[in-house]
Amino acid sequence: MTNHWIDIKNADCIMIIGSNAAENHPVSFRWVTKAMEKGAKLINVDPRFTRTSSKADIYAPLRSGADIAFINGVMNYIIENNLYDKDYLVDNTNASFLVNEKFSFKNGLYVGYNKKKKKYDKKYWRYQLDENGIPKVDRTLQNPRCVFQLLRKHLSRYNLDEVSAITGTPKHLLLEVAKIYGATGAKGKSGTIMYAMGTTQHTVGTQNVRSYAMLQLLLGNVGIAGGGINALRGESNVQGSTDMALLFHILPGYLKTPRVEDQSLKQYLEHWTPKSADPKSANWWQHTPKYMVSLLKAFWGEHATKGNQFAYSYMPKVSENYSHITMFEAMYDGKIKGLICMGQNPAVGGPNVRKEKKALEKLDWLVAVDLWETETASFWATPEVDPKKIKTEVFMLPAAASMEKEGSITNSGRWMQWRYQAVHPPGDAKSDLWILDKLAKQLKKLYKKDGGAFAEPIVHLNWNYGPKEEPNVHLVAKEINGYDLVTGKLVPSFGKLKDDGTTSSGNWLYCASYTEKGNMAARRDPRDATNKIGLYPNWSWCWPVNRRIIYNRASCDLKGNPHAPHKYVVKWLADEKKWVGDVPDGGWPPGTRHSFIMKPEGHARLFGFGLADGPFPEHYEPLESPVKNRMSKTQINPVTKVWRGAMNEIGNKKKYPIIATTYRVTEHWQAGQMTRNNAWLVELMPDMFVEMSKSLAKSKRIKHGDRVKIKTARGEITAYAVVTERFQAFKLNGRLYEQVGLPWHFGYKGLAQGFSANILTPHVGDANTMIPEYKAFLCNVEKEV
Amino acid sequence: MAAKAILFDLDKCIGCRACQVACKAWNQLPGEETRFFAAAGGYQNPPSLSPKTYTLVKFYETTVGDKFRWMFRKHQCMQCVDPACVKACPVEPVKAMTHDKKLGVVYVNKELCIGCGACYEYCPFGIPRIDDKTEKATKCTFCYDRVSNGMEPACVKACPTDCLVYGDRDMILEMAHKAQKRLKAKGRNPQIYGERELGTGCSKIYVLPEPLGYFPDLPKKPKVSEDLGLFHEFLKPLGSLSISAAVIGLVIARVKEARQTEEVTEKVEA
Amino acid sequence: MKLSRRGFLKVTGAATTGALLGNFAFNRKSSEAYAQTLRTRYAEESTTICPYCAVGCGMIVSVSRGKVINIEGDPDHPINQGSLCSKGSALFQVANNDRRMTKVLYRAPYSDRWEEKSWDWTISRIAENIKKTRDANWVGKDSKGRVVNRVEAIGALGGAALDNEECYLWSKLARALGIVYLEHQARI
Repeated sequence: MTNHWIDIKNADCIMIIGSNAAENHPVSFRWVTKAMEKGAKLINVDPRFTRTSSKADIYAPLRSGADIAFINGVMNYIIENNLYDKDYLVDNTNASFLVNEKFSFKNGLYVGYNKKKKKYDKKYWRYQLDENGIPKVDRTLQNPRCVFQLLRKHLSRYNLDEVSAITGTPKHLLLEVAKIYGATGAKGKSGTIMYAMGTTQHTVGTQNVRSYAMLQLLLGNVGIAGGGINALRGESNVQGSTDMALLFHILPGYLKTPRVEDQSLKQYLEHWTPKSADPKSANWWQHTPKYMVSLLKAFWGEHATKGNQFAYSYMPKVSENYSHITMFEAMYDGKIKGLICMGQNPAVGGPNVRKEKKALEKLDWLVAVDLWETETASFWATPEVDPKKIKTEVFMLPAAASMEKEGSITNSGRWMQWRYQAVHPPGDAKSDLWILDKLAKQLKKLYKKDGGAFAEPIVHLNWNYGPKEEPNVHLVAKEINGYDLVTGKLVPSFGKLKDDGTTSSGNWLYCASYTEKGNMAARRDPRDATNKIGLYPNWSWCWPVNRRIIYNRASCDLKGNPHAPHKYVVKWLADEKKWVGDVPDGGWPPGTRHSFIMKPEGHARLFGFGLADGPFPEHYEPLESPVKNRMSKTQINPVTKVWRGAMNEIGNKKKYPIIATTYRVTEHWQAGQMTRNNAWLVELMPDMFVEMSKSLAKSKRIKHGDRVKIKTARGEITAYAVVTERFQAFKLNGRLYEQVGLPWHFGYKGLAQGFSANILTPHVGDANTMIPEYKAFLCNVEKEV
Repeated sequence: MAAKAILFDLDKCIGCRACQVACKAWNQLPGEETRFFAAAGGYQNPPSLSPKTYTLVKFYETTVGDKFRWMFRKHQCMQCVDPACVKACPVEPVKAMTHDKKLGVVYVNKELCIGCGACYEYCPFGIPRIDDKTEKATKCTFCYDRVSNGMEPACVKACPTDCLVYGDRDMILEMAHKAQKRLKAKGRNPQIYGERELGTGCSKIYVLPEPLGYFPDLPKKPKVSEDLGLFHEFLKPLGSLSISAAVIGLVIARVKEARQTEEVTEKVEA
Repeated sequence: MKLSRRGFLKVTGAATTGALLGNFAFNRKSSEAYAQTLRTRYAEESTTICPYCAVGCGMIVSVSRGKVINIEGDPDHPINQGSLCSKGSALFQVANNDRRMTKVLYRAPYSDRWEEKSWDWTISRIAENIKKTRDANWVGKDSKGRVVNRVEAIGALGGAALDNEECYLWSKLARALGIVYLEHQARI
């Protein structure tokens, strides 16, 4: 989230799209409700009528997989009707930047597409630079090569009739959404967008998010109170686990994972440290060397020296994609021998779980750490497999629950909050911290004693968390914050980190979270800040440097006067020469630095040349879709990798004419282990079900409550039919297309058991992130006889 | 001390059922072994109140005018201002069905309850249940332990959107009327339920965003059965010593029988 | 409007207790003589954050004799102000649940059952497995002779339910081992 949960109350209009916040983040509705009590309008855009829709002023049905068409249509309307905030665009975005003359777009493809490699050569996706290397701009936004005019041209293809034919959203509702949400472009008004996995779990997921962000920029809604682009994250610490880089492509604090080309630290830093010729650009990532060297010092301590490039060679180098789907494909192919699962349950939660379970059978060993016996840990004991044929050695380790250990988690609004141990874990259960500590120490011992392949990174690993049986979690938290290695004191903030090896920090973004003043995440001061917009600056701590609303310099004009004085985030006191309110995005006086400090050009990108699949969002159909792409002959995202071969069948619309989507419900959580073992929650939702329209049920002779088979090219499941008005067929290009919806929480362990919806989903992911396309695929349904 | 009440502003309810679980958690009630419950649309569960379930959320899918609505209503004891269950309770001299008039709380004193079922029989909303195992009546206690200790009921505290509000009944009614106005301004056709029902009203006050007819399981005109007087007449001669669940069961049956005979007689006469 | 949320909860970081008790909270002393005793009255309390979604609601855990006896929303917490959803309200059953794993379980190759093991045996066995797989599949250089220092035969999954400090240690250890198949819930 650029903003945070409480800030939703400051919005004049709330658009919930690709999220079912009322069901999956119910307490967010505390703040949605507060905004509505003050007159805010709630718009909900979703393929199905949910508990969120039930509270909305406008519910706009949208066919799953058509978000880009929808938002592009809304943006087109906003531009053509002058609802956008021109000052904001010029001051804060690259709308005025001139783009390379050779940049073009045709037949659904941007210039530079290589059909064979399914990749773009992005050499023309560039700004025009002046003689100083600074991007050329036209602040009138009239130059036909400026980003704004190129965007306008791109969007002009998305008129409301066209959009309605793609999305299935009735035109009058499109118009209503465009008008009402577009009204937040007025000065002093704010609109917020709340989104979640309904947005991201598509082959165009990243561009879906981008389209929302661009809409927010057009309306001047980023950096302000009651605005922002807000990802509602689904697991208690999925923000923190991402920040700590439990992902192949990043290191802690979003530093890039070294690639094979980055053979030396020097090469790495040259590759990944952006440069800017613009003196007004803060270009924050210019500090990359300080953060990287401090990370290496945190990892390898005294063994990271100037002489050995701070142990840079110890870091593994990647040369391809190692994301979730790729991992399970490699496992299925027998290339992965061992797997360690820390509280994740891919046998329910992974896409195409039949294949992912088959892949588990190929492992030599599996370690599963969890509170419960999961479907993953006991994959060898399922009805359809013979354990006597499965070689995998399986270790199931009992873990402590949240109230049985001490440590911090980071919520969706980036608040790092400390938790205390209330009781001991049951039986032999242990905290993950204890398990990791024991394992690391044992590995260090083994490699020290016996040596082995490249033993140094392990033997030299900086690992000392106190003499007690349970590692001292405060020592870990302090290591994450970082030390001044000369004085031995905790670093007060990332501004003090250095690239010469005299500081350490396990995660620069968390610098200032645990300082000589104490554990900031444990703070409980209930007072609000001077601007009274619900920042609660001394309650817990948030990254970066306790800034509660990021990009907040954009909430002011170039003199530091807030566009919305009644709910200002920051404002410049000219007499005192200081900012007040939230922690500003850098303390420089107004007008001296551009507001989007993380971008080398200092401006938010309407033209996003960093993406794999194009600088503007373009509608493509999901991998499995019942219709042809109306926008171009390019049917699916041209950069998406489609896996073929065993157990990767793709369904066609003849055999599988019905759109299917998966989702979560309030009463269950993710892959189910935390709720399907809980009698109070199982009581509320004991069985797997499939939701469908009355018209589909009628045509298939299915009655409400019947057992129904749902089939896709990957597999088949059965579930109870919920026949409801909440589901409606979509009218696409004049024809009706049905959809069904399935919760994905169920599996064959726990008190509540049922088929996993992910038996049905394909192994295909977003072109940028490889997030699986769980949200739109094709199926057929029939009554079970 | 003023009588308390709970406001249920349905327009703000997101159907998350925090109230339902918070009730179980505070009262340490076990989960019920349920199965997919088709009759109520598929989301509501358990099917009805029980000794293990003092409150549950009901789901209503309906079309009002040209607008599809999905509404949610928390269902439980209405905590009547003049509770028929207390009148019906045959345990003397201290009633097992206890009425704290100051707080407006009606709860079962399980030490005194004989599980006769008279409270259920005469409840205008059909709320209390008899636990077969303990042979005691069960129902929402209005979290008497919490409210008598200055805390709000568990369900109210858990509610994320403040669709449930606890406070003095006067204040709650004022809030209800404000909510009604707000909804009217939004073009809805709201109705307050619980203010004047049964003459003196209840301590649970609903603001229904649409007319009562859209909530078919809420009695349109709840009333205390006329049999209640007859029941007490039949009880009187028996004396307090002979009060047991079995005897009360027989008396209730006898009252019903008598009433039927009466009705038949009336019909014949008519 | 919920002025009586706080009740007797002892954990208060705030100086606002008096104000919050407000006009319609009432004095325990004046309540009925037969008012029931609050079952959490003598419990020890500590704060925690909900482990389900990422709203980050504050909670108060009441403990008596080493057992969790109640969990409910933290009225001082500015995000949830005492409220919770159905999952959060059910957290008590995560703390008290006979379905919890309490022993290390081991399934030998081709076996059809779990067997109980000690932590010592298990940790050393897992470490041996990791070392064996890592050493046998180590890639020091790629086919072009470039240093890569990685192992592609070990996968690591999960972490969204771990604490930050645990995630950090896992992130650090995995990199030291050269693991590149390092993924978790954020990807899916």
